[in-house]
Amino acid sequence: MVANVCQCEIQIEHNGQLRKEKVKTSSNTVNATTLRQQMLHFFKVGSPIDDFEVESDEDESWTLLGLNGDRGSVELDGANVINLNDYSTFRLTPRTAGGSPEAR
Amino acid sequence: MQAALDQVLAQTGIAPALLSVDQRPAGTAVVWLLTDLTDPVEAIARNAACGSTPFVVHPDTGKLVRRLTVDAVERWNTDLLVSRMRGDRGEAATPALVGSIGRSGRLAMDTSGVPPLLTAALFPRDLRPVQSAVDPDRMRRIAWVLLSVSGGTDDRFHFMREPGDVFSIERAVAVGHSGSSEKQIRMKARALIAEADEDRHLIELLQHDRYPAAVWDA
Repeated sequence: MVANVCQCEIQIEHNGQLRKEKVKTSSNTVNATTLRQQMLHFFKVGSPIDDFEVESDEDESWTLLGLNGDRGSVELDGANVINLNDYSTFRLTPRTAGGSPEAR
Repeated sequence: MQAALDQVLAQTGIAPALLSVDQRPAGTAVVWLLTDLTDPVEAIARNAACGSTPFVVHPDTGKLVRRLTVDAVERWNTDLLVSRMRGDRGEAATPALVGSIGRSGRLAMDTSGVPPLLTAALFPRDLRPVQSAVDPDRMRRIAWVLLSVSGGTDDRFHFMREPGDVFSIERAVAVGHSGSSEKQIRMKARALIAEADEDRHLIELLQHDRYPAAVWDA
């Protein structure tokens, strides 16, 4: 079994709906790219990723947010080390030409 | 073909009850070995250690058998074949995550055994639903269907990395003894990912019990 190291909620805004799932993780820390890929894989969202192509703009079409109650949300894209215990919820939101959801 | 196999068995002292030998193109063959295993969940869990001689469901008989794929018939009397018949994979008990391949984290390569294996995770390796328990009947159906899918292909199989955890089931494919080109490995990897997605869809259908149990318990 995956060690129940950390529990959190993951969310994705997709097709106008907010999908949610409570999950357990196998480690306390992860980088933003890995977490984004794992969340997309979990929700089966996004076009198939060619593992062997260099990273493209398409991979950056989701913004990863860390949410923690009253403290609001923090954009985590590009973070090398995310401590999963620092946030209760992680959310993927579609990135638009207007910038991050924070800026909209 | 059968005579050659009998000769190898006589040389090695291995006497598995042989089910059949299917000749394939390019000097390859598939040998089906009878087993006394009847529990598909145990079979898919034991595949984590069986490696290249995995348990599958025989496409014709519907029985749990072990499938030995022989690449080159002329090498049948080698130590390699003996090792594979015994299901040895050296020290490794479970296909190891020797290295993740690509960017998605779904693919891994295990070079600890012969032949090397390329494996694809059906579900994210590091994120699992908190409510992830699957009842034994459904687990049995899932294992049975996946082992049947494995039996219908030449060189692929399924294994369960963590016993009893449906979310740890992975799909594996051998990548050849004498080394495969980078292009060949990439092609296999792409196919493996697509097939893993199909497996996951199958599991999700079976988890939601959309089919009558009688179909799978027959």
